[in-house]
Order: sequence, then C-alpha cells, then structure tokens
Amino acid sequence: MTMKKVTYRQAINEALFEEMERDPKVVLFGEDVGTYGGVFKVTDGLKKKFGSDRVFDTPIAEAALMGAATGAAVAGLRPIVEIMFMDWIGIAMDQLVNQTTMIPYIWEGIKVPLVLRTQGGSGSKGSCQHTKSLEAWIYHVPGIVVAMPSTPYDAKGLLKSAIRNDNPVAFIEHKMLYPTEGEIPEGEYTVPLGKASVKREGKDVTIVALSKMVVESLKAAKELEEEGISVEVVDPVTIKPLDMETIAASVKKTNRVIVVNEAFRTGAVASDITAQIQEQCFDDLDGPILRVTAPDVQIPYSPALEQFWLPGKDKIKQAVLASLKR
Amino acid sequence: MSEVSLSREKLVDMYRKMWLARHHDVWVEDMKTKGQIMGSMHLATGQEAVSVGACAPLNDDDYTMHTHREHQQLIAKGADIGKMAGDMLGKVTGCARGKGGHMLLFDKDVHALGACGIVGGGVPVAVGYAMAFKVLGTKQVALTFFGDGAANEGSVHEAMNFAAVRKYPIIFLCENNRWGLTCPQHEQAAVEDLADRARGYGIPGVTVNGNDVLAVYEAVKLAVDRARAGDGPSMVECQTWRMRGMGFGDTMEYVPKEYLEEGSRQDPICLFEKKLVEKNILTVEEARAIEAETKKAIEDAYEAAKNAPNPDESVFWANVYAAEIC
Repeated sequence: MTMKKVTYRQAINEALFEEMERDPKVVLFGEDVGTYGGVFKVTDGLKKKFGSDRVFDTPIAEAALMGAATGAAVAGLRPIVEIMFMDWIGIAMDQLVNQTTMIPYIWEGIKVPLVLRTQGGSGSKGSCQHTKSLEAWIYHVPGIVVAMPSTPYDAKGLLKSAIRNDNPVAFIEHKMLYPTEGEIPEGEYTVPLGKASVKREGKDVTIVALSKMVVESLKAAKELEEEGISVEVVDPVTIKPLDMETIAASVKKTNRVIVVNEAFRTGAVASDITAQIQEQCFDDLDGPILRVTAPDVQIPYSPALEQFWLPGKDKIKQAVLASLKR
Repeated sequence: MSEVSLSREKLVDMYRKMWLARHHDVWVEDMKTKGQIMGSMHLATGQEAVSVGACAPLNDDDYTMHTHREHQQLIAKGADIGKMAGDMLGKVTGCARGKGGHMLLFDKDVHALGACGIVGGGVPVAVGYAMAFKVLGTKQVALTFFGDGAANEGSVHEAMNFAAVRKYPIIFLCENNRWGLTCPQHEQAAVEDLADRARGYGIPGVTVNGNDVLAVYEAVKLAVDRARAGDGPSMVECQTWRMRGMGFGDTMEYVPKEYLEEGSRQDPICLFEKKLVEKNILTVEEARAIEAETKKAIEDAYEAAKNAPNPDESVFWANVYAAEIC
C-alpha cells in the first residue's frame, strides 16, 4: 500500500471530503466551519466544494447546533456538527444528554446518526475557557460512542467510520495534535470504532493513554528504553465503548499499569478505566494502578503556571519508575 | 369566533379530535386520582383548540415536536390512542414499549416526534427536522409546540434565530396558557404578547385566541403555507387558559378565581360546537353522539392498556445503542 505523510488536520479534512462526496446526506455545520474553513482550518475547502446547503456557518448558539443536528439526523440527514471548543459543550449539554442520546432508547425505531466534532486539550496558552478536556462529561452519558484519536491514521479512518455509523458519535480532537504528522494510505481505508491500538509493544509496564497523552507516553517510553525499561503503550482510540480485551491482554503481559489522561483528576475517564482494569485484571496486577492526570485546578494562562497543570512525558516517566519502585 | 371555511368532513374531524383530547385528559386525571397511573402528570383540559387547530393544517408526513403537557397535541396529530395508553401505563404495547411514560410520548407512524419533558428542549430538535426537509428538498414542514414558560429558555431563542437565519420550514407554536410552573406570565416576561418577539428574529409573528380553534387553524395554515413555499419560519402564539395545575396534585391556590371563571366561559369545545350547530354543520344530536363515541374510544384504549403485558428485561437493554458500533 502506498503511504503518504499528512498532518492530523489534513487527515480529518480528507475524511470529511471523502465522506461528503460519498454520501449526499452528510452535512456539516458549526461556527466558522464554512467560509473561513474552521478556526483550526480543519474544514477548509468543504463549503466551496459542497455548497452552502451542506456546509454552512451558524449563529453562535451551541444548544441550537446540537439540537438541530439531532433533529436533522432523525429526519434523514447524517449531520456533522462542530462545537468549536470543548469548553463550550456545557451550552449544548442539555441537548446531548436529554435529546441526542435519549431518542434512540426511548423513541424505539428511531436512529440518530450524527457526529459531534469538537476539540479539547491544553498547551496553547488559551487559558481556562479554551483548553479544557471535558470528555468525561460526554463519556458519562449512555448511548453515545466517544472517540479520541491520537494519530493522523486513526483520525481519518475513525472519522469515516463515525460518519457511517448509525449511532451518535462524539469525535474529540486535540488542538495541539493538528500540526503533527503521520503516515496514512493513499487510498480508501477505515479504522473501526471500539477497537484499541497498541502503539508500542513492551513487557515491563503498560501505559493506557488518551489522545495527545499517547504522544507523550511514546516519548517517555523511548527515553525509558535507554534505562532498560520496556514500556507498552495502548491507545484505546475509542474510549466508549472501551476495548477492555486489548487492555487486559496487555496487563496480563506486563502486570503493571499507568493510565494517562490530560484532564481534571476527579471523575476523569482515567478513573473509570482504572476501575475497570482493577475489576477485570486484579489477579494480573503486581502493584497499584497509577494515574497521570492534571490536578483539580482550573487551567491558568501564564506559561510559568500552565506547566504545573499539564501532564506530559516527565510526569509519565516518574509514574513508570514509581510503578517499578525504582 | 372566526368564520367557517373548511369542508364539513374536516370540521367534524376537528370537533371529534377535540372531544378525544378532552376525554383523554379527564380520563387519565381520574385514573391518576385513583392511583392507577404512576409518575407525574400534566393536563391540558380546556386547551384542546390549540392542539387541534395547530395540527389540522398539517399533512401526515409533517413533523411535530411537543411539550410536557402534550397528550392532546399527539391526539391532534393522529397518534394511535391504544399505543399512547400503553406508554402512559408503562406497557409493552406503547410506541416506546413503556420506556418513556407520560412526558416522552411519540408516534413515528404519524411523525409526532415527540414529547419533551425539558421545557424548551425539543425546540432546537424541531429546527433540525426543518433543516433536513430543506436540504433534502422535501416539501414537509416542522411544527414545534412550546409554552410561555419555554419562551424564556435560551434554547428556544437560539433555535428561533437559527431557523430564521437559515429560512427553515418551521412553525413556532407558542401555547400560552399564561402560567409557567406556578408563576404568572407577567412575572416571567415583560411583554404581554409573546409573538411580539418574532419581530426580533425577523420572522412574522401573530397572537390569536387559543380557544377559538378556527382562529388557530387559520393562523397556522398561513404559517404552514409560507414555510412550504420556502419563505421560512413563523411564530403563532395561541393564548389560552390553563384550567388544571402545573402538575397533578397542584392545588392551584395561586390561580385567581376570575381567571378560571373566564376560562370556563371560553370553553373551546362549547364555542366550536355552538358555531357548528349554528351553521348547520352538526346537529346537537350528532354532537352528543361524537361526545359519547370518543369517550368510549378512550375508555376502551385504557382498558386494553391496563390488561396489556409489562415490558420484560429485554426491553430494558434494547437500543442503548440503536445500531451496531463496529
């Protein structure tokens, strides 16, 4: 298979192009996604190609966006709705919790095939209303698939699967990953929802990391290799439903686990993954499961302060060493 | 009262639906009093002209979104009363197989999609229905009911502005019974006619007597024609009287006696019947026969629902995800 190098941003853009071309029922709307091509340029060129009925800018009205996407999905479209910053999901949350995910369960026979695209993540010096990772809020609600890809390959293939899926899917991107590069096939491919990906094989410790923390974990693993420590990095890719089979197989091999999640510590997705591993893999564990997360502190602007919030390579390395009692 | 300009068949159908709606809410109120229905209950006894007048200009394939005081709205749209009774009693014979109960009724066969227990929560979803109709080029329209209480919700404001900007085929039907929960309208809004707000969205708005079924019909018909012609949304405010409490068990001490007396004088079924008899469309005997026949239809539906089976555990687990994930 011929491969090509693209950025995470380009990979998502390609998925959107290909799926809109494939299926005329796919529409895309949100704040600035049309003429401007998205605040991160992820939707660049789509309005020009597919016209303003299928790709359009909306009022700044996140509740209406989420609700309209839901209704449009019920009535025969396959909407992709963008909430520009995940920090604003609160405004759309009533719709997501009480309409989008309620309808398929209560209104039997009705499906809601929509994709909610949003992006979170810190490191942009965006302060605390533009850098949060609130995936745990969405993850908490029954009836939605939640995907958090870390590579261009996964991002493109997974978004294509999400658009074709008949369930509501939250597709959570990371703003600091947009310029990162990776290889993808030249031609058509998809990545299945609900399947984890082992990004690096190892035998001493398993790291389960989400989104950009996969990149940080791989950096940590590389440095630890020089110290003679072999780290396996598992990326769930889809966090709900969680592929516990792949995670459990890794734990069985290494007997030690670190869960890494760039989010407020209390009630983070990492807490739930930790609980699931403890319940299902207790006999395979040689020590406590450790978490590397952000602290329960709002995210400050100053670079001098933001570093205290951000989890990353060094904190991951410390956790691996602690896990091995070194 | 407005002049009669519809076929005899249509007028009698409207009259019949008003009685069905009336008997329904009187019947379930009685069952509730006897402890035969669990959960909360919001009754619209005396508001029949709004539901029937609003749904009469719609086609079967037009979509409606309803409120939490919605039984009569679904009956007006032509929902199956047997299935509705099943849902009201939590039985497997309901459209939702008993999952939704009184506040989440729906009937997809007549595109009544559906009721919403979150005040104002359904309005953005209805905008999505209209979005789909416009993008897919069907000539369907959406009509969303909402109350005077919901009129002050952010989601309703967002939805109305969004639909107005995009010129979606939707009718915003404000059923103004002058009480939001237990507070009078003047404590919740600084305008008397909520349709005045339409001007702020750049769409037509009209206020009509919600106890005059023909006035409601005529106003909604104009709005439906406008939407179907591609001219965008309208708001129709129907001012009516809430003759029951906020919910069942509300003793209504806060409601002035004069308000209830005026509401009784303005009984929509009496007003409509008087008109039909005066115009020789209906004899008094025929009217009494319809009154009796519709009462029996409601009784039969609830008797059947009482004896219907409960949902089993398979229903509990069904459609958490309505489609395969991978």
